[in-house]
Amino acid sequence: MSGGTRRRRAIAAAAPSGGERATPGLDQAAAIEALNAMLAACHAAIYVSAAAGGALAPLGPDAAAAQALARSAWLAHRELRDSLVAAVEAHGAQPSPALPAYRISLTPVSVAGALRLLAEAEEACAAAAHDATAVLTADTRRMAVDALGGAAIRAQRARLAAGLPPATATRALPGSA
Amino acid sequence: MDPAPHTSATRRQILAGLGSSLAFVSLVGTLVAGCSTTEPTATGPGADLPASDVAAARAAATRAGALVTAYRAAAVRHPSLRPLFDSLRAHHEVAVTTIAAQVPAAAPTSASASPTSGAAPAAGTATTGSATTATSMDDSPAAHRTTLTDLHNAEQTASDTAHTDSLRVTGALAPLLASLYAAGGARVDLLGGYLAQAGAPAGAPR
Repeated sequence: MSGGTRRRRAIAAAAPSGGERATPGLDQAAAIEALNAMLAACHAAIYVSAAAGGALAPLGPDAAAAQALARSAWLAHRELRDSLVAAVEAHGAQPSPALPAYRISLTPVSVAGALRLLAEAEEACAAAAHDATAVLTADTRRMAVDALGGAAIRAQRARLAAGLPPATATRALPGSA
Repeated sequence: MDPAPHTSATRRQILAGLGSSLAFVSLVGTLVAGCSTTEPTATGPGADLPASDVAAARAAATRAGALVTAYRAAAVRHPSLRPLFDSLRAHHEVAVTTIAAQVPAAAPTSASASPTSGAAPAAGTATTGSATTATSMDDSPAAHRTTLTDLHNAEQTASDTAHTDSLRVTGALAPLLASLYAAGGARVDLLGGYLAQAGAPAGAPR
């Protein structure tokens, strides 16, 4: 277990319930870190969804459904990004910047590859949101919970669109192990 | 090309496609460092949870147990949909197991845990009437629609309740309930697709 994980567990154990306000100090630092982790994943998902959508565009009608998924993901993550930036700034902190580019696991030259990329990006976002809920409270926790829900659905849709059966396209505990 | 930071293998790296998505893994690796987890420890989070958290966990386990029962009955009644129902039942079994591991006090009793015990659905879980009580096989479209609608509504109710509870509990339990909410929402989405295929009118569930 990393030091960071230990620290978060300790923070989580002492964290106030979701309806309470965050307190200064460790809770505040953990909240900022969690929001920025979500933001970093969100930046990557925006890049991936744009790359996937762009690669799918010339593939014609056969790629239309996947392209719609990519666009939906792109829009959702842009909206979430703006909310996360505002939340980080509301904590008086600096939002994580987007990187100029991201090295992705495969070049989305096919519908299947694009869908796989989209699902991977959503899984990373779901994991960040899942972990963030441990240290966030009130509205920011709601943001993380809702982000997890959205990512889980988009990831599942991408896997189903790629032809996976429900048994492998669905997840018992999205964002978790 | 910068190599990904060398850390021990984690679920996050596996998700991101270990070794083939270096920058992406770098990002995910950052997330790993920021992870809290829901795995129980020797002094597990359940040991210090307030009573309200334990109650929320127990309710979640009961809801999942009721849905295990519902999916099991649905699989028997509709053989052609058995692969779907069995996979979704397995999710709820994982949920029950995970909740019990994290919050032992929320573990269902042996009677209520039994998928065949006929345990009453949890408060907040819609009764899946046809799915839980019917035993005769019926693969007609109409029967499919009825069962899918019942399960869709039960999943929606359970997911909504998990969402509400995820905002009320302490940080120790919030990730698990948030994940249960997300899983439920995804199942609602999936069942909605099957309902559409079965010819249910748009917006029919609920």
